[in-house]
Amino acid sequence: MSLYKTKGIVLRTHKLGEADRIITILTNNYGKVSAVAKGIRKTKSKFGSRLEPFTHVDLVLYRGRSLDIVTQAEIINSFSSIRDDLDRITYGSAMLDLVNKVSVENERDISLFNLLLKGLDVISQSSRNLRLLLIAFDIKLMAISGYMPKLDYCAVCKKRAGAKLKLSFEQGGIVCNKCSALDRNSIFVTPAAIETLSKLIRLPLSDVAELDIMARIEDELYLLVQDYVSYYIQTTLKSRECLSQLIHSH
Amino acid sequence: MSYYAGPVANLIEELSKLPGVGPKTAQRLAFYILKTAPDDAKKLARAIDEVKDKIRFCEICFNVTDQTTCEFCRNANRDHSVICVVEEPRDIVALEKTGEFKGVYHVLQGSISPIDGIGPDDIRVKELLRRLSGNEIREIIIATNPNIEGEATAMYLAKLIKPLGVKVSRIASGLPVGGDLEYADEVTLGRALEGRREM
Repeated sequence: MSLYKTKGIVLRTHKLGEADRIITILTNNYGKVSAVAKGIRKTKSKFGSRLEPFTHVDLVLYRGRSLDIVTQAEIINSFSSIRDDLDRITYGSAMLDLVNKVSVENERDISLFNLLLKGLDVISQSSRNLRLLLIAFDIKLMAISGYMPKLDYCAVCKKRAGAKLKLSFEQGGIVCNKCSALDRNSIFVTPAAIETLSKLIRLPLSDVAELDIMARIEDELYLLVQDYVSYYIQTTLKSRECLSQLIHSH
Repeated sequence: MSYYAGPVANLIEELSKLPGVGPKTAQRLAFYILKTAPDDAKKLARAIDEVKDKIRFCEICFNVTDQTTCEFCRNANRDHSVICVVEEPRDIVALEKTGEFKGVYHVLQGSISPIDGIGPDDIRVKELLRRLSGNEIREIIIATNPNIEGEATAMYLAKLIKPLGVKVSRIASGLPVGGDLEYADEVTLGRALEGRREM
């Protein structure tokens, strides 16, 4: 009766009661959905690994009063090569966390869904450039969410910006020396970083994995994009805070 | 406003803070306590008082104990050169029931969860490393949960401990005894195949 089917990617899970979990899923046609998976923490649960984070699943859900209930789940892609590698888990979690923050319940967003699927796919196959992939994923996500930074000309006066570039989150892009006075928080950026950033927006994620970017530029872009994301989603991402703990300590 | 006399309302409010206890259950429990013999109710109060007062973490493995070290760490008959790493004290009970393990434990009191921002500094990893230095440790068995957090924790520990020249093993994962193969998911069944053994 009130059963419905959908496909989705498991973003995260929370423990509920003795043996249940609340599963948060980004679905391809109902936006973000939170549903209860009953008994999933028991060793002999029918769900097994089917509702673990990162899994792309085919679902049957029952529409409950407050929360929906997962009745069936079949794996489309388990992305098991992500879960077998700590670096991939770390960067993949950073992606899931951001998607969880920006996605909205009952609001279909197929481009967000496709971006996440592509992001997980590329991460599961790459062993290098994972941080660059995250930077590209973040900026692409901002772009499809309506926060595409203006990088070709000054966001205020529309003129070509000179050599001294600044980036203003408030104005949504680069600003020339004169217009940068409008936003006291605008920050200096190198032309090389801006050029790379527009390349990351333009290129498909699978090509980003092949890029060779100077470490200095990647470092600059990483900090820049993290700040850009935090500015627009108006919160900090917990997954990004422990990233350095997990990546640099080994 | 409350329909109950102050102390009763107070008890209901405290009980409803327990996990899985809603207002209705809390009311039922409160009235049950009200009806029981004064001695029984006092026993419950004393038990709660005692557990908060006497129970602390084992100085070596961070299991719960009522002394400075837990019964496993004190026991000279156990193999102190093999440490089994678990997430929670309750996992020790599960492992003890198997009767298969004679070593000692280390309780991490959590697991690494990148998505929640819980990193190695938030669980008892440093304490484990401290145990490895100076002591003769032959093997570390990582028995964290077979979910994404548990796996992340296991991989992190392995990367950290292996270079120290200590053998690191992970408990096997595969099919639960008594289950049907056809209902197994791909990841579990894949692991079961990967970890098959010669007969």
